[in-house]
Amino acid sequence: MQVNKQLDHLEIILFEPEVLLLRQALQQISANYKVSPDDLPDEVKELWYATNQASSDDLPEDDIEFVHEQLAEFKGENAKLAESILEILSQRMEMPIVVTLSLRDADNFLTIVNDQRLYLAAVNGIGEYEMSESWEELPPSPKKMAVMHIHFLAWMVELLVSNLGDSPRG
Amino acid sequence: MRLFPKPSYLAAVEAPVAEPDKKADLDEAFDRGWSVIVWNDPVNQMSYVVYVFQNVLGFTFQKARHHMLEVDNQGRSCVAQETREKAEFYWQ
Repeated sequence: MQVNKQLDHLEIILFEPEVLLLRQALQQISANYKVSPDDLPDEVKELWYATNQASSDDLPEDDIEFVHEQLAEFKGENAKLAESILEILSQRMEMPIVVTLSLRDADNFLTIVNDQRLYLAAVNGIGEYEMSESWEELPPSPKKMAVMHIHFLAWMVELLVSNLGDSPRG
Repeated sequence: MRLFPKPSYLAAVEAPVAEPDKKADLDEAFDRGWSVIVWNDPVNQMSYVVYVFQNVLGFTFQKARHHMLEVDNQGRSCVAQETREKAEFYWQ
């Protein structure tokens, strides 16, 4: 996988294994983005919306609800971006596939990738131990597979951040 | 809501006066007494946290890195002291 920054856009160059992993990640995240916060698993709701933390602070209920609505709307927009990238990954057969994103979309894509990392960690009960170097000692399992996906997406986050780092948002 | 001194040409316009309870609510909302605290977790990457601090909070790289290391080493960092509205915006 490579990421190249041009003047006003980013090029993400993906080879076959990366396309397969990213496609799976985007399918999952775009579906979850459309789920109302109240219908998400508790652990995901807490990570994406900080529900427990917000209710323990002295924030008014109306404010919490408003922020959650805004967040859900933002995630809904990101679901559309995820789907547009999925379409590119699904339609092109020759490798590598080049995904071109405006800097603004690349910034949102970074959020999408990180959200998927958080989602995988939350639903698979992945914490400090699993994220440490000892993860390779985990027995083959859905949890170990999730850790591998998280690390693949971490590589993507690093590439995106290193290219977006000095770009203005929006 | 604050009552600004009226210029003479607006003298005919009555400035709205907030009721005492609502005034207290509004004063509290606009008071910069809301701390934005970032907590540590095992999943978010250091580079991503620095990036977010720079882009959302407008920190320089050095300041962003300082707060990221504080989160990593001490478990949390207070990154802003703001009005409630702005603090909620940062939370989003």
